[in-house]
Amino acid sequence: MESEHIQKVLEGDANSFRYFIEKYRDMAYSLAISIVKNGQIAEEVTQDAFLKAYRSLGKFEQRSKFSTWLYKIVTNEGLKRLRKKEFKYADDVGELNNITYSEINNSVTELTEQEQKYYINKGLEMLLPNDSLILRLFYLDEKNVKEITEITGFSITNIKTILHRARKRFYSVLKEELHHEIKSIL
Amino acid sequence: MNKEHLDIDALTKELLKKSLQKPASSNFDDQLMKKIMLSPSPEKLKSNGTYLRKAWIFMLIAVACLLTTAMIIGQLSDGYFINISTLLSITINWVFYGGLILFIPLFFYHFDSLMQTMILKRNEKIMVS
Repeated sequence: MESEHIQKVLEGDANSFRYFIEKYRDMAYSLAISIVKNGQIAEEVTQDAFLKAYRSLGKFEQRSKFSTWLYKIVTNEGLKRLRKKEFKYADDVGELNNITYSEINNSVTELTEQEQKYYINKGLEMLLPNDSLILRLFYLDEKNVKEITEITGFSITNIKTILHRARKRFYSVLKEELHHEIKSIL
Repeated sequence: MNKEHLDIDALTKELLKKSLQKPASSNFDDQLMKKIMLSPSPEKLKSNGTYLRKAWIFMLIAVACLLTTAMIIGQLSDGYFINISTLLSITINWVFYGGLILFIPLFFYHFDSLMQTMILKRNEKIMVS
């Protein structure tokens, strides 16, 4: 299906590219925001990445999935922006070892769907760009470690380490956020 | 993996599945499609690469043909018409003038692409602002 659309675009039907935009826009944007931590800049990064993907579609050899190839472009574009501007994020997020996952699970399930989404995204926003990027690739898009290696250029060991650390940091941030929420309600 | 680890993994997956975000701009797709429509087609961009490659291949074949011809002439005339120094000087001249002849159209060709990219970037800026 995807190769058909690629062929159409290569034959000059630019409108066929809309298929890729509609299919991958949200995930590409989520990855961009993982890196740049700013909605407006993430939109620019996503647009630049799609434009770059369109222009270099002739070079895409279809050895990997289109999504892997596109996310690699998104990551590179995001990192380019990151180098241009400094973003603030939580480097050290408190104690990593005192996390009770069941406690977090219980607190989260008490929230509405919208509130859950808000706190999860806020938590991811506070993580290091690499941490939130890899968490989203692994859990949200269900990419395997090998595909993440292809997208980020990190080694398999490095990705496993980041995943382990990112998970802990994510829960730590989430716990803190939820703690604040409960405090503000009381 | 132990049970606790699997539970954490499952919980993380469940939570992260809710982290998909959408661009805030309502006209995100249209804006992007406009940029794509203004952009040169991927096929055209791909052919730019083959054009250069073809030019290089053509030049290499031409030099190889010249060398072969000169060597054959030199061989047949027992070195009367061509010796190694003239062969070298002809080759150098050929490479130099041939390169120059190729450089001028290539320069204008890429100058045109450069101008196109500049216009495109300007259009994108106008469209976004």
